[in-house]
Amino acid sequence: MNSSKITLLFITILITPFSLFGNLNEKDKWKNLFKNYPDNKIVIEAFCPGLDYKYDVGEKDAFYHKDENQLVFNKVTIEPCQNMFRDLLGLKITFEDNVGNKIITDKTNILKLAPKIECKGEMSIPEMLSEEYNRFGIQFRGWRNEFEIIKSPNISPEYSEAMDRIYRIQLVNNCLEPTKWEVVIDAEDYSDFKKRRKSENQLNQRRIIAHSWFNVPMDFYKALFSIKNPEFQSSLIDLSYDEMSSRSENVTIDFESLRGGSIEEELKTEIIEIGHQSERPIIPLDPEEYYKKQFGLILHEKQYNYKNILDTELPLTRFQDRGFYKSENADPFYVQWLKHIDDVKINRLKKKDSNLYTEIRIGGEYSPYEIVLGNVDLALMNEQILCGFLFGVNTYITNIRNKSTPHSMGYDPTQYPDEKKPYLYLIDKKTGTWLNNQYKGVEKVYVSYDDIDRDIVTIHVLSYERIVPVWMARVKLPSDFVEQLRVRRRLFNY
Amino acid sequence: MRKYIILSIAAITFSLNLISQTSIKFKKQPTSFFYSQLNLHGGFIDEGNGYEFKPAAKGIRNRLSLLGFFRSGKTLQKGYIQKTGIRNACVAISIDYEPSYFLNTKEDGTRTSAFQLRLMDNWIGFGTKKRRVNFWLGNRRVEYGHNPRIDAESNFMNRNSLQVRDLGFWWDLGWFFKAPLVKNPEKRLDITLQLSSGGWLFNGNPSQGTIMFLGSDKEIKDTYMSPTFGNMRYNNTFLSIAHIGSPTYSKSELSGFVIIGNIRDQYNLDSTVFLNRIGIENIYKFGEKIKIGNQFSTGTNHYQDGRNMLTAHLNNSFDWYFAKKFVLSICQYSAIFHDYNNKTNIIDYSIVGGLGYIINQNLKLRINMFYDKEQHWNSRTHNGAYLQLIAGFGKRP
Repeated sequence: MNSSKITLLFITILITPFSLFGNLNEKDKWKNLFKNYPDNKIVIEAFCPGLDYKYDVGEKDAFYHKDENQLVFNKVTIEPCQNMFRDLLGLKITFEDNVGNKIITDKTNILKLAPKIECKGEMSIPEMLSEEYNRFGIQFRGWRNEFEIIKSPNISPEYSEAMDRIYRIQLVNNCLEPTKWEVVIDAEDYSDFKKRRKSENQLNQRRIIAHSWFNVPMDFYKALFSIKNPEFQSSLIDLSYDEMSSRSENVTIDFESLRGGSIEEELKTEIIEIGHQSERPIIPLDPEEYYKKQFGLILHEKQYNYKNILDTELPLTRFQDRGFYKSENADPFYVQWLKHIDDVKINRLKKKDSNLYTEIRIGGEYSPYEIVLGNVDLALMNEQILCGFLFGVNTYITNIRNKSTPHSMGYDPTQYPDEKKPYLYLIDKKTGTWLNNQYKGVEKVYVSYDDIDRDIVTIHVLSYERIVPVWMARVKLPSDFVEQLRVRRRLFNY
Repeated sequence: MRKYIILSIAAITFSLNLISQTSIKFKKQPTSFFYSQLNLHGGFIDEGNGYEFKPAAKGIRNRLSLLGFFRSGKTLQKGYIQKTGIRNACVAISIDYEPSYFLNTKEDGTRTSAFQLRLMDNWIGFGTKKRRVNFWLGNRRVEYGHNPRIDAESNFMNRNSLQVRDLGFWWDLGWFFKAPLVKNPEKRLDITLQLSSGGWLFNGNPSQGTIMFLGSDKEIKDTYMSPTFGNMRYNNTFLSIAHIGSPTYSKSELSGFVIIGNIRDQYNLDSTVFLNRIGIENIYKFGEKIKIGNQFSTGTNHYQDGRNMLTAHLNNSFDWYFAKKFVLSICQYSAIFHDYNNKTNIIDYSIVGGLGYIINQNLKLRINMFYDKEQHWNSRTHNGAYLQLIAGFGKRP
């Protein structure tokens, strides 16, 4: 062993106790989250707007708010769980109704419910806005025993049976205001499985059986934010929405840094269709849009197509009420600027381990704005699903698994390597500065394939809040690129 | 088409929830897909008597294959698998033109041509409630190492794979299981297990999976244009494989495997051979451009006639995808069989190379060149060059 190795070994021996001590400090830091609360428990009152609330994203179960006391979870208890897991302190969260029925999600990876600021410098402000005012969360799967149900001894047989049907819990950081969270409890109902199985439309057996909102304490939320984003001050949370938006409007987006590399080439694509030019009829793209239509929130009065929707007054309940959406707060506006969006360019990005990542630029010669979607791995997509990208950088989504490990080309948003984090921006075409997509009425971009050939990419732009599809295009990829995507799927997937 | 089918199917079910805010499309998408593929393959071969132009008698034959792939509508409707459930299924058959079929032999011993009906990938795929824990029942590619091909579709290089060279057959009928073994992101390991029939449907390298054939030589009246069953006798054979290594999505797939079986002897189909192997492989990928594979296995063969052999097999391959449309491939195989009772050696060697031009995803053109020196086949030396055209029609995963 030479002298340098001995020195390294010696330093390692010296450092090791401090490293362990460092971990203990980390544990203490976590435990400090609860030091101001009796018995290390945060007890919160939860509330539910009731059966008539129209903005639930899905079909309601027959037992949804059937009774004021049962399956209306109005008490939330947050406490540390007994053991650390994955070097983190897991939390035990208990949801309880008035008769004592409990649902417990133990070992909750609470950091997945804190927004992650992915950008540095001035780009961190629009990033904060995109992350914080976005709905994201984690899910617990019954079929993997990720939550526990404790029934009250006084529960009636019908409610007991209803609780047996619970199969998934979603814990969500709501988009309406900081600290506002939700719990959505899903049951499944197989009473009409055969009928739905045969239907042409995808409506599965999921039913929302309970849905409650609660506000976690601000000091707790800020502490979480600081642990998740040690390089940022938690006072970012104190900035109002409008203040963040106005400060962001002058920020120039540095796409070079987001790409983690340069653009290699523009693909020789062929635009097959632009929705407002072909006047394609608008139909619900996913079950959520279907239910919103059923509830009368979107597209309920007449047949729309991608042309006339751009001249239509879209009802949106923008942030007039930071509590719940209320239909009387509708703030109609138009997305006419999308009439000028008639071009899609797909660029191949240069990455160190792949040259198949792409950046999709949606714009047009006469459009004042451009939508830029980057770090897209088209090899991961298929014709069965719509891949929704949210504005911001690697903006968290609602279906993150509480426990997840990246194990293929695809990543959980909490685990993306920096150079592969997807990004989506609306920018001013002339200046390259950030624009508030919500003020321009758009929320999300769906990317998918037309069919199993996976040679035609379908892109949809969805409106803010009501997620009405307001713009679409179909773009044919060059055949050599399609083949390379096939190779990528074969080489790097399982 | 084989490896290609397997991996693409897995990808579909696997990547549903991993990326972005995914939603299943409201309008249900098709769940049944049908695809047919035509392989035209032939060229010049020197079997010791100078070059002759012949239809392919090595690697992929002239072939029309038909594939049906089905996703489980029930599983898609449910959205998840509670414990175990069917994910998908595949049915694939082919009609091959074999220019020299040993079951279609004249009285003077000359082999003549035949059209064969072959079974290819025919299986049902099951998922479990645990992600990436899947199993399959049916006729599937033997898990004798991972596939080192970048462009695996009907690839001529597969004839030098360890499956085909050592065991004799590419597919086998049985149970196949894949799961993560170590989930630690720093040192992940997957396990693959196979328990299968040991070549029940294997009846000679030129006709693996042949369940029926039509002779095309008028002189052989019994088989001429008359459907004749192939040799499908079961000889109490089995094959078990355990393969542990880096997942297939790793940049470097380092793996080890163990094989034990009593399989049909490819050099004497009336007999069986008990074999065991231990092996190691490394497959390295540079993005989507280059794939380098090295596979080595060693073990013993115990034949019914009393011979015992110590054997070692080596496969090295290199694939390079360049200029967007071209794939260059080289694959070398060598093996030694040492009869430790009689102190004799048998050495087989082969090298194949090819250049593929991908016109589009359904149309490919390849030039395949080969050199074989095989003591197992009376020390024959074959070399030649084939032209292969692959044309596909329909929808496939």
